Amino acid sequence: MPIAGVVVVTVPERTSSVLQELKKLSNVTTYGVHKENNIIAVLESDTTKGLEQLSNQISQAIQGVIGVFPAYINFEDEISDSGTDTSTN
Amino acid sequence: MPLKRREFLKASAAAAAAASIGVNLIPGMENKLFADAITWHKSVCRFCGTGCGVMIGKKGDKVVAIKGDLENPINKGHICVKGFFLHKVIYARTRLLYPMIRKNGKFVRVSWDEALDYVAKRFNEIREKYGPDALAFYGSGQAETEETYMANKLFKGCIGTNNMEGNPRLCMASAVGGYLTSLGLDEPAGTYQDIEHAELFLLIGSNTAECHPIIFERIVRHKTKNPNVKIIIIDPRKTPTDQVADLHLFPKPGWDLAVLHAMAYVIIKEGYADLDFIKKHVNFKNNEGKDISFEEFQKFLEDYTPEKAEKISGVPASEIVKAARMFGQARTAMSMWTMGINQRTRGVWANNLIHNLHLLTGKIGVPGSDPFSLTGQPNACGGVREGGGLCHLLPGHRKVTNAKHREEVARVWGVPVSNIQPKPGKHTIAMFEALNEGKIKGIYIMCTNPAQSLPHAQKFWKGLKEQFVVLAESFYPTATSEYADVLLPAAFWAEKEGVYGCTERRSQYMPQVLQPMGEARWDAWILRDLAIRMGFKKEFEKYKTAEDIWNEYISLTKGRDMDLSGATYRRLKKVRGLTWPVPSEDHPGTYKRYVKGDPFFDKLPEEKKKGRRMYFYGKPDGKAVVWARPAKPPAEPTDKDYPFALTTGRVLEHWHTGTMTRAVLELERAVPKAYVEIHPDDAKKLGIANKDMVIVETRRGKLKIEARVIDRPEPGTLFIPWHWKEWLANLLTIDAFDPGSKEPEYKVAAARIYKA
Ligand code: SF4
Repeated sequence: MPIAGVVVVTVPERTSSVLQELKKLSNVTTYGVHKENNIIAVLESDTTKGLEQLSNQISQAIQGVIGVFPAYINFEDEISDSGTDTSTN
Repeated sequence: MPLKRREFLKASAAAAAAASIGVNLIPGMENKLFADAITWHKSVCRFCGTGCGVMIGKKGDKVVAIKGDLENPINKGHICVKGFFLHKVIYARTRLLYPMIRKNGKFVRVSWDEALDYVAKRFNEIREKYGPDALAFYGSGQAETEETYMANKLFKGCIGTNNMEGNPRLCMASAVGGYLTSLGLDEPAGTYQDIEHAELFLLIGSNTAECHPIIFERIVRHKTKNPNVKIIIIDPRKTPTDQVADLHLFPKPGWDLAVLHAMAYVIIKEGYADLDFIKKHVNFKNNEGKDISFEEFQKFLEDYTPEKAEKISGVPASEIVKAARMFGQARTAMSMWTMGINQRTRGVWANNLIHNLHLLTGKIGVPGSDPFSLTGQPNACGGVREGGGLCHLLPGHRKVTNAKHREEVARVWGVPVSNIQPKPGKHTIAMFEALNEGKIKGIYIMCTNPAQSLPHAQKFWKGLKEQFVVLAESFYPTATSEYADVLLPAAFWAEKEGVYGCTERRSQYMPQVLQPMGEARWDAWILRDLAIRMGFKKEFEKYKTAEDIWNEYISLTKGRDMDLSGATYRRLKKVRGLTWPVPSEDHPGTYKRYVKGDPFFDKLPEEKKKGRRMYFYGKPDGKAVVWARPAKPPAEPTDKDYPFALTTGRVLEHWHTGTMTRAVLELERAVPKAYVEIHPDDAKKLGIANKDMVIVETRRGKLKIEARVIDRPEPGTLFIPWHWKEWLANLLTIDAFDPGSKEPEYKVAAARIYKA
């Protein structure tokens, strides 16, 4: 189960509303607001794809998010199925 | 996964994220991250020129985790979404695993011996029959410095041709030309450290948020802490970078030179120029390179009053004045630019005009002030600019035209100096044209994809099809492999050691943590073994380790402006890179060039430095140059037949020709195909709805593509991201290039658009 520890950087005036939105997402756990406008969060998903979608969802669909910056990603359980389908390339 | 372990993992992940912003969330937790099972290896991200430090987590013989390197001063633990997927690229199904030779039109798996013998034989035949200039090498800003060094020696020093180029010609040659002509030496004077001291950022021709996300994050973080910090964007297109902009000027694509001149005009007229700095540190020159006076320069600028610049560029005069005042009033200012400025037929001039603003206001050489060009590839600066991987260069910022430089290099290479030709070889576009014409008959392409990335790409497929093409790559297929005669599988990131040098003059070491996949081998060894088979045993058999190559290379940098002689592997393995000049093993690296603290400045005789805070030692009198360059339009302005300005660029999820990022299913699905952005007003006039299929056409080709109706481009402008070979933006781009830098004008082509 891939897991990512991320910093969600927000526009300072919107930090609390972003935090509220993040709390609504079931596969996101927040760890508080730090240094004014940074929210620490852990994203979980069954696949790295899910993680990435979640990260995109946060940065694109939630107003006031400047960026989602991962600091740590673990994909230990996924590595056995490491080959990816690249038939389009 | 047992719940307890998952909770532990989550807490660890949160602790790592918190640590990256200097917060101790759960004391001691970060260190406990799989202390027993995972070994961590300090490395550098494989993607963009930002140069973020990453830690590769290995368990058994697999990479199972990636984290941002907390100790790396560039990214301090953060990475962007591309870094997220680094491991997936290693294990992509598109990895090229065996050498292959095309036989009867089909690729057939062969042994390394057969492949290298065959290439050596063909190259030697071509060389004997047609001379050394019938061979060529085309490399990459993604290759390690050691790899480019080996290719340089083989082609320029042994085969005896300067037909050696690399894809940095397509992305930053204009920045090189700008630095050389304005400041005297290539590469920035400052480093990323300036970000946290800057009061104003001028982002021009750069979608920093998507293309250099960690630099953008540092800017945003700094602005959040310091609300007085302002950001000006000059770009024909709105991008995610706009979220933090205080002012955005939208010039018509290719017409921004007038805007920069008009800013200089206002800066001088309203008294923001630093007259003392100008007097001591600056010469003025006209376009022909003749000295002119400050007064003559001001006279020249009268053609670019804000009102006149408005007529030329489409940017309202009042906004130009506002931008100039912001630049002038800020205590410190940092400009950043990339492809939007460099990929132009007047790319060097555009670079000069950015430098002009800094030189006129003295906003250079102090913390927080620097004209700072951003690079696209992770080792374009290190391997190609510094390593001399272009047709006119030799290692250590040397030139083939300089007899002393040729001698110095030939001595270290152990080759007769007569082997190195005194004339530059063919630059990229000329090289691929020569391939079309049959003047070049054999080419070795390493770690790049020119069949997709060259401008007006289809024009050059003929030569690739007809001549003998050897492709050393980690992935297959690519657009270029379709034309290859021989495929050589190259080890990928983490499967080889070597050095990358990023945007800020920082060289960083990367370890080998995995065995190469399949039969893949390190590019430097492929080149060494090919060289030996071509008859250059004496010259190449001495290289046994990556460190052997690096040591020889840094010995060639001793005493040069980009001195790396103190950056030994021994040191680089411990530290998070060093910013040159690093003239000795006990030297800490240099934050700013041309000022106190720069070893070259410090060494200057006192009388030269007297009364001056900067000395541009690449110029004869130590003075930088403010250039009076005319505001030339793009090579192909819009007209009634082709009324739109087409510009090409990037998206966050993909990188270059997509060879790596499209091999990652997640990234591929996030942005699965190309599209053309068109402004809603234009779309309405043409009856185009969102997601309609449309044809975009230029004088060179047509592309059927989905429309995205969005207010990101200005009316009259179209934008296509270029990562896909199925929707090949480079069928449309123009191969006109800058006469100085030879960099093509990817950023502006005249186009029309209609419903398919
Ligand atoms: S910003 Fe560039 S170097 Fe840093 S993680 Fe992203 S792609 Fe890699």
